[in-house]
Amino acid sequence: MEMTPETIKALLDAFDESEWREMIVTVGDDRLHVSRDPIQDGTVAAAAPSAGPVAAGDPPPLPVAKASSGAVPPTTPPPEEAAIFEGGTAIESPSVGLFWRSPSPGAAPFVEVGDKVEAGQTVAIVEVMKLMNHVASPVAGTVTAILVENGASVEYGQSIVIVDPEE
Amino acid sequence: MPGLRRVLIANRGEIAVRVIKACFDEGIESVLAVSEADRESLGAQLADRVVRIGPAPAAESYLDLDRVVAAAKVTGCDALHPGYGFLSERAELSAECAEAGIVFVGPSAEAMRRSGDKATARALAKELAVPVNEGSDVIESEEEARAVAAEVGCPVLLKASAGGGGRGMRLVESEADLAAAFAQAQAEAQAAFGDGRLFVERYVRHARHVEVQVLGDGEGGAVHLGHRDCTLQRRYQKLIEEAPAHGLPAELDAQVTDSARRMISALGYAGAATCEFLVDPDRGSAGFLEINARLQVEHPVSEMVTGVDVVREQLRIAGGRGLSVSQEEVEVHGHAVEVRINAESPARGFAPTPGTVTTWVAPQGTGVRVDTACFPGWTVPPHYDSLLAKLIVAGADREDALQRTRRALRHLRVEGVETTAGFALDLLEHPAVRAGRVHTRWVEEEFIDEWAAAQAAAAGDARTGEAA
Repeated sequence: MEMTPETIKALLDAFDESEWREMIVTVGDDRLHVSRDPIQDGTVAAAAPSAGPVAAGDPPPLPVAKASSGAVPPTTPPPEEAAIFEGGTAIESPSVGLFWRSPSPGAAPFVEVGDKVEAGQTVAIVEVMKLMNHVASPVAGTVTAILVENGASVEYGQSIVIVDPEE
Repeated sequence: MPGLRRVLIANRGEIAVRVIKACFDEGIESVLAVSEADRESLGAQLADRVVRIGPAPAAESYLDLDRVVAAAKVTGCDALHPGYGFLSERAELSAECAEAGIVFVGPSAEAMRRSGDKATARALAKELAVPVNEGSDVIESEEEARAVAAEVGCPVLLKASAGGGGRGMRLVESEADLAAAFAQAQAEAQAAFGDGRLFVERYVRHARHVEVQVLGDGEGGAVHLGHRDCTLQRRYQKLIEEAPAHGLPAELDAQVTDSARRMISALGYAGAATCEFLVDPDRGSAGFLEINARLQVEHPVSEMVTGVDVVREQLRIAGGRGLSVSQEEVEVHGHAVEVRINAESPARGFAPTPGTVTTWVAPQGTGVRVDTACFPGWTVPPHYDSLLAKLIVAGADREDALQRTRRALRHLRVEGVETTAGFALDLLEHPAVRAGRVHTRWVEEEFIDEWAAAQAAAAGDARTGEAA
């Protein structure tokens, strides 16, 4: 058995249908760890530096299987799954529109995972018919996850960025 | 022509469900734009896809033009259906859709501007020799209004050129009242529509509101689906509608349907439109009032008597597939009645009654149709209008249709929110309504006080009964 996107999906489906709290599967060097409990160690898959930026068109988030971290967040999790980022503040999209990580194409992103942000600092843009809505972090803290791909569509109320607030 | 593939529905409530149904029938995917308050709505459950566009207040969701068009773009829709109300009569929406490469299910911005403005629509009517209710073009000042009032004779109505729903409208009984009424109407029109232009019309006492449903193909072709009577109103809000308008003399029947068809044809209008007329039974005349450049709440009564599905025709026309019927093929059979069931308390001045519908049992029967977004457990949000359902009943003739409507109303069971169903039943049992001897002000002038007194007396009796 190999840890392919298909087998990961099959394992996740099996986990979904089960009543298990936690599942750890190790195949060779690959380790998949899924838990229904809030993440204890403060890391999430998308935050793992080794994951790197996920470009559009890449295969499903393979790094998850290799990074032995908490869970497998889909690129744009449905809102009810946002609860998994307990302890972090989920920043929600203010509108339906397109999600942009930087002020203009080719420019540096507003924030990267691991960056410190101030309250009121812009973390992303949601574009509504050429109208650029700057989305600000309501709290000071550390960006722990960016849940949407650059250029992807978002809905109103969808979690887009997670910030772990400062104590 | 291939027709449409995926339609964004920029509306809510019963009309969202109605458009989803038409998309289903036409084999088109439906995407429903919802506000935060409508995520659990019946439409959200029935649509192929749902997209959240904003928070509950309409200004940041259903009335936000950019968000609505963005929702269509990001979900890959090739068309947008605006329903009625909200943005449906905003020419800018039609224009912005065109710019974004999305088909607007409705007229072009140009056709909408020309038909939606009362003053330009009246000018068009005059150009086509369509009889218009006596009155003025747009007036600039109170002095001009006074001159017109003197010419046609009081009482007159002051109306907002951009208006609708009775806003910016004032009845002037005598010339002495004109100055105050002019100032009020102008201020109200400016506040409501950002356009304070007014015109003056002869006020017809005992008028009937008659309108004609028309479908335009966008290339000068137009088919009418006969007329409707919407005379039963309260404060310019329609309560009960019928098709056809009963007892209309043959020459008036021909005049209104022919006029409506010629106007929509001349506009090069695409989609569903309604031309409204004021019928003066005393003079036996009909005058053009205005064009509604959208689907109307009461479209089902025309569907019931003609068998033509107005919303499917809208989708066909927008998809470039043309009308499915010719004028020769349209026949009116029998009679249909629509009752609006609102979540309102008639006993408390028709105050809205938002809340959770705990019981919802809609009547069933041949020729009985209920257009609704209601279901047991649905919470009527306080942010939008109060329309819960439309009960539509067809019969062999008017008497049969009215009798079946009353029967159906008695079988409607709603608990959890107060509705206007009981009030509508009392209306339909009144001899004047049964005989069709009503006018647009009849409910307010002759029915409501009597009804309220009877309700109070019945409540008093009930209390006395309890005490004894």
